[in-house]
Amino acid sequence: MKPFGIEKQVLLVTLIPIVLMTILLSNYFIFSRYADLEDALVERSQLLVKQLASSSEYAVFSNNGELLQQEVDSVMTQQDVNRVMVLDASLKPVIEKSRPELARGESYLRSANESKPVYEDSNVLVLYKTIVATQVKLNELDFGNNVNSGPAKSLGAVIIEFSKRTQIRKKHQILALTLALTFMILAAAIALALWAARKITRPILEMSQVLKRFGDGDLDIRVLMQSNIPELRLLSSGFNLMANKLQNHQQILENTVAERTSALLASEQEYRTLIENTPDTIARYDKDCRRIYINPAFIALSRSGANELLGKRPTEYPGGTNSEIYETKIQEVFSTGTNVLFELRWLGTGGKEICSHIQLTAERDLSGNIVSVLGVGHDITELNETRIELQRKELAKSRFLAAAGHDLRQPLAAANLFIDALKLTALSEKQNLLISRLDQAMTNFNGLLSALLDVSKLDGGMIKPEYTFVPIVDLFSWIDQTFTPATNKKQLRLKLHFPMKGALAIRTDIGLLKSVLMNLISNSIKFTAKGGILVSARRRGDQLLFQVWDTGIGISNEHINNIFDEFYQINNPQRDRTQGLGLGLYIAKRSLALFDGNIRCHSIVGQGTVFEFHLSCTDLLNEVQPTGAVLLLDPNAQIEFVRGKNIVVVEDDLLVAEALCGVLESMGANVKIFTSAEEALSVASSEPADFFIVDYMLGGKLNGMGFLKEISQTLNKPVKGIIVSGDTSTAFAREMNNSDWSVMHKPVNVSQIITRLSERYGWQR
Amino acid sequence: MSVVRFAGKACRVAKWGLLLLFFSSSFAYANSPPNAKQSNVTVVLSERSGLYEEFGDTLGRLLSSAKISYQIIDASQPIPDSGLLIGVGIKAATALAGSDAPAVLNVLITKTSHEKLLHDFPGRTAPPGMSAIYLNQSVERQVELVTAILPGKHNIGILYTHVTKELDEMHQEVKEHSLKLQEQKVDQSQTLPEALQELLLGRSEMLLALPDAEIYNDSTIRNILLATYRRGIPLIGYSAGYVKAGALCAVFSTPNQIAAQTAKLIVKFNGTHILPPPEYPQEFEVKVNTQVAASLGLQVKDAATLHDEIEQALKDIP
Repeated sequence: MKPFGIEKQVLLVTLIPIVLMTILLSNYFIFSRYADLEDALVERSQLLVKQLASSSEYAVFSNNGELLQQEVDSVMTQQDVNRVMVLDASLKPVIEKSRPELARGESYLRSANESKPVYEDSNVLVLYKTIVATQVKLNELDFGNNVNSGPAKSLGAVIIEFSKRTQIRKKHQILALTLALTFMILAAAIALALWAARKITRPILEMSQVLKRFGDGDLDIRVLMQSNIPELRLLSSGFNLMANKLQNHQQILENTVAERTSALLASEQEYRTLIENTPDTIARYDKDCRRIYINPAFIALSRSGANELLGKRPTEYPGGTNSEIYETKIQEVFSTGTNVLFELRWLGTGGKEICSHIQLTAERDLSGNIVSVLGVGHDITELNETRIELQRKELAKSRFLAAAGHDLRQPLAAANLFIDALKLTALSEKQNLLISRLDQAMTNFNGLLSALLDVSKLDGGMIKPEYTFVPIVDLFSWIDQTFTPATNKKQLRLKLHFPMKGALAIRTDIGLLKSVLMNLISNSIKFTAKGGILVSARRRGDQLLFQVWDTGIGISNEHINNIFDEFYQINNPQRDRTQGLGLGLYIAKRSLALFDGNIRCHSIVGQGTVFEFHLSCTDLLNEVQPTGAVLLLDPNAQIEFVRGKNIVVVEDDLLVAEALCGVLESMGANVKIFTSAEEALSVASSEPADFFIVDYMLGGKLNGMGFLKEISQTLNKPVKGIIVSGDTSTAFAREMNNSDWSVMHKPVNVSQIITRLSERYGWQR
Repeated sequence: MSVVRFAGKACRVAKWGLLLLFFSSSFAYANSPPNAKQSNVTVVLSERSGLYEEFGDTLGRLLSSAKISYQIIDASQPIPDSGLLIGVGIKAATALAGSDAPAVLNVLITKTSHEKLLHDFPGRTAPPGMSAIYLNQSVERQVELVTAILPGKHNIGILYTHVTKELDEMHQEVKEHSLKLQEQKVDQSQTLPEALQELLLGRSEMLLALPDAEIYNDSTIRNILLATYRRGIPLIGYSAGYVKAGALCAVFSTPNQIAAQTAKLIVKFNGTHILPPPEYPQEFEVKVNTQVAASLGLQVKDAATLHDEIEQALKDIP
């Protein structure tokens, strides 16, 4: 249904109550008038019938027909009386008169009743009235049989039929009049309502017109309200005010848009400059992989002009295998939507090969569909060259360190072993002295070499900590065993203090930590003439504070800031190498730095020095086994352990092998030497051996580990052995972690090897 | 609880009723003079209202002044079986006639009614028996009124239903005064309107009403009056009510006059203990409706003159 406009609605709202009211009132008026008319007819009829009954009393009593005729005639003069009947006491009609044209010809005697009409329909009303003798009080005293009591005697009755013609005519008149009046009132009301509705709605309609034009963009239009309705005037002025504000806001908005647009243009210009001046090549590709944009760097890089590049696919220009790869990558971005990074080599201007790092990025429209792909190429030719050079240098350094590590240690190890062997021979006192000097010199040399290698490894970042859980108790046992002889010798007290409660462990690289402690404690012993050394570990939360106290000469303030520098030595201007290289504290500091331990030093000259560092610690779990033996068997136990054993030594360096063989045989063992794994395999498989001492790097195809595995398989049982290696690289250490056999790093002496074997395989006879 | 309360209320009402009865009866006795003789007069009223009560009061006053003790009861109360009983009205008289009362004096009762009672209760004829002071006037007195008020008119119309002693007397009396009775009987064959019509169309010059309730009653009197009036014939009634209703005149005795006569009779009875025979009222009144007379175009004497003339005429009769 179409909704009504405001005018019709106002009209309806005004008219409906008026129409309803008018109809209701006119109805009420008509019906009340009708009721009045009917009441009046009934009343008049009753009056007339009563009057006739009364007036005809004597005529009926006296049976006076003439008199009765007069009475009836007087009633019949009434216009609306159709018929009159008078009955005697026995209800026999005495007289009956009617208008012949109207009378209904009924007797009405069937139901004579005074209380209600005898008969009534829309046209006639018939009333009945008994004629009763008028009562006159004669005597109060009784003159005979009292017949006065009881109902008054009926003399007869009258019946009158009234016509409702007049009443109906009057009703029609009233109806017509009322309808005419109703229509007049309604017409007036409609006219008035129309006028009022127009008066109210016209301004509103005008305003809505203006509003529509305003909405269409005519912001200058305003309402000119002539209405005398205050609310409408208020509305129009409110609208005008709003229009003004909107216009202002529109102006401001336009200004802002202009500002932003210019800013955007400037920004775009900036970016354009950037893109056009960047050394990176930028190109945009459509779905057919055709270039739709290229920046100047791209043009400069290729040997052609922009016209040859634009609209071409990479395979069309410049073509070639790389272009095919490039185009495939673009298609891949279009199909997958993921960005792609790759390197590509081109033949640039002048025939020089160019290596580009290329990033392909999908460009999407607002609905997320990929419309183009942006390719940014960065020239990494120089970068690649530098990188290759760097890798080459790195490799050289590694090779040098490995060579130094292996090749320098190899003869040193041999020398050590020979010295060991020599000690076991019968020597003169002088020879003994010389050997002990030689041993000392070798030890110094060994230490210097280790220090130098350590420094170089640290510098090269080649040392990576290999973490294990080390029980504190084991560490301090090692300290006790290692340094007690030296302190005893200098008559210094060595005091150790560490938490005994619980199995406390530190997670650290034991080798590095030992070297640090070795450096610190050795220094303390070296610079303390009397008093003692205190090595302590104290728990500080989940960390352990290691301190090395001494009562030595101390370090003055001018030096204390430099003691951790490379080759820094106090009071050694003549560079006495028996006092070391001045690398100990440097190595300690660098080593600790590897597992976040920061070393500090406090000292008072003439009183002593303390070095301290923190390490994280934990309560040792049962399954965590300490690694590395720190206790060495005493010489007699070593001999006891080795005596009578069959030991196979596989070592490609014959010098080292013979030195080792000499020591072991002098301790009572039966030693067989092989210089290659293959050779050892062929013989050793037939002859059972108690222990195998195997070098890791062997001349043949098999290394030490491979050999042990092979022979285990051949003998079909696990063999007991130890692997000795000059390789200290991290990769090697990682491989050895999974080994079934213990690994020892060169240089090692015989005591260390026997101790390790006895720990691993126990005392077996 | 409400039942209890109701019972209590009922009890209270009963108590008050008894108390009231006590007081009322004591009041009745209080009317008796303190030094009165034996209370041997009981006035029995037909009803305690209107003229009967007025009569009772008047009689009571008169008896009190005569120092005769009495009591007034109504017909519904138990009737004493000793002393003189005064039956006031036909209802009381009928009740007394049937009672064990030794002496009964009926008042305010017509001669016809009294005689009917004697006929119905034959035992009452023996002395002291039952006597009466009639309510209606003697035939003589009525005829005297006719001659006094309408001298020169000789035809007296009479309507009757039954032939009574009174009608016979009337015949006798009329004859003595050289008058003529024009009679019409009302019965099944001739209704009242027909009889009246017949009478009025005849030679009657007046209609003399005799007490007969079947003819003259409250319902018929208006039409009878209208009929006579239309014929220019005056109606002569027998009570004040007739004159008021439109009769030309009437001779009658007031209850007070009869009460005085009764009192005298009681005094006499107290002396003799013998009841006199029934008698007509001694005192009477005449009433004339001058308006009716004027309407009928009659020149009539005033009531006092007529009274005197009647009295004189009756005195003259030997």
